[in-house]
Amino acid sequence: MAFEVLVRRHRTPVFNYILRFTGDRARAEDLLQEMWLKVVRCAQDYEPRARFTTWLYTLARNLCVDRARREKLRQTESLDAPRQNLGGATDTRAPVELLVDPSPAPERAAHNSRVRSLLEEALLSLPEEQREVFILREYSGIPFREIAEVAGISENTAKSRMRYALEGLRRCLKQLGVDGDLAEDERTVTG
Amino acid sequence: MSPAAHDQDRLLEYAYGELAPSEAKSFEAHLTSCADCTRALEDIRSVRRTMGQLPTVPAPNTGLDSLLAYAQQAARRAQAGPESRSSFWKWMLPSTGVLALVLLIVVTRQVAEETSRARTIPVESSEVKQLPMAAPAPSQVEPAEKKQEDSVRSLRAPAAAGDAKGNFAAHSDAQPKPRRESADAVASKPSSPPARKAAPAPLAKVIAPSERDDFAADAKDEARAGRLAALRKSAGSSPSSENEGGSAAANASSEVVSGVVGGVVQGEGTSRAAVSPSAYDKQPRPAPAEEIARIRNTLAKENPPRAERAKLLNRLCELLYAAQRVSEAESACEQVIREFPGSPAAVNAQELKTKNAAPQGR
Repeated sequence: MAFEVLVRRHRTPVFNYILRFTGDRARAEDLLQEMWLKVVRCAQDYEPRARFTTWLYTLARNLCVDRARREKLRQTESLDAPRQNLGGATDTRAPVELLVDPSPAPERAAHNSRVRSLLEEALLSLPEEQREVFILREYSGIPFREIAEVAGISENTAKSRMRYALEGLRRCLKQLGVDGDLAEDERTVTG
Repeated sequence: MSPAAHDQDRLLEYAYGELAPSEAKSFEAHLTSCADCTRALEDIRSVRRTMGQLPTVPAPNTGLDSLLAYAQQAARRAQAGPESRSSFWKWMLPSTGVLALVLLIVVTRQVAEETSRARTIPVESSEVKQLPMAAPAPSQVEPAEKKQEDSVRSLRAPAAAGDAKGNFAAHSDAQPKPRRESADAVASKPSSPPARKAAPAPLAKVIAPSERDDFAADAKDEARAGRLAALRKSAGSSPSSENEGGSAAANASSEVVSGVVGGVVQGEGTSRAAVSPSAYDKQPRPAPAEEIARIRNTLAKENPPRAERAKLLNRLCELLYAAQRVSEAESACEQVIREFPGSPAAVNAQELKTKNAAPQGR
């Protein structure tokens, strides 16, 4: 079945896009399911002249934006509340504690987990419009021209937002004490 | 110092591999000579390296099976949908057509009935044309109030068929109804309907078909007005007694008219005369309300000629007064006066109004 092929091909990249956009795994799972249902219901609206990927990410993006708006209205999350990182592990420490690792010889996995949390934190610190462009380009590999279509903006605006996102992340990572050299120094571990 | 704006876009595209190979090569050449662009590129690469440490999270399998099942079901529905829809329309279209046809037939029938009913109105209105002969009688009523009372009294005893004074229907509706005339009147007018025939001739002449084309027309109107004035004078104190007083027959017909019109126009008077409802109701006559409605309908829809319209309005005044719908009657009279100033119809309407205004004051 063609639909199953499409689902299997796109579900993980789209899920990661939603997860990084929302910063909440449970919400991302929920939105992913909602998005595929929407794909089934709106299949007749799909125009073959548009790329399927673009259409798919447009649906996902709209769902994310709508949900974020609704959440913003009702939610004022406590900074001290226990948080769950995007991998699903719960980190009970406040962000301030995450900035400095107090343990002299932390286990590598735990360290990686903490750094990952910092990266997620940095990503979530970006304004929504910059974050979505960064995620689409950096993690989903969507070119700027298509990002413009997905977000309903011009290509120049997409590039401009990308520049701001990169600059914002650079500053934030520097603040958090995380930079590109960490990977080279093997102070972070992928996966 | 940051790179120029155009370089920033190219830098971004270069960093993400979106530049065409030839452009990429020329940009690399530019990088060798531009420290700012080189530094900016290094910043981008650094951030990308760091942020690239975020692992790809596998999508959950939760709900995948149900999603695929739902998609299959939807696909089946989409395939079956157009067929079932076409079979629906296969039945729906003809039945809608039949329904529309039936509806059309019913509506056409009703319209035809309405039209034929409306056509009967001119016949009645032709009766009405003659009735204005009796219409001026309200003016007779007051001077001949005693006579009217007599006729009203006769109504109280409708069984007294041989009443010499004559027993008349309390209302001289245009509808056919049995009217009893005085012996004299019947003798003088052998043919039926007696009430109409018994009406005084001069007024019939006044609003004769030959003369009723245009009330506002020149000398004819003046002549008519003069004749009316003469008639009024001949009637003595009654300003609108259009009887050609003098002859016995005329007196008798005056009685007839006063009786008839006294009932019709002075409906209020009739009721004042305490005609018992039972006696009144025993008179087999069509409802004045029906005639009022028909006249109004004719006036509204058929746009009758001026003279005809004036007569119909006159008749309407009479009927409305008879039905004690005084305010409506007054407005009908005012309409006649307004529309046909100086015409006999207007004079008649004015008289009706005056006559009926007095009892109101009482």
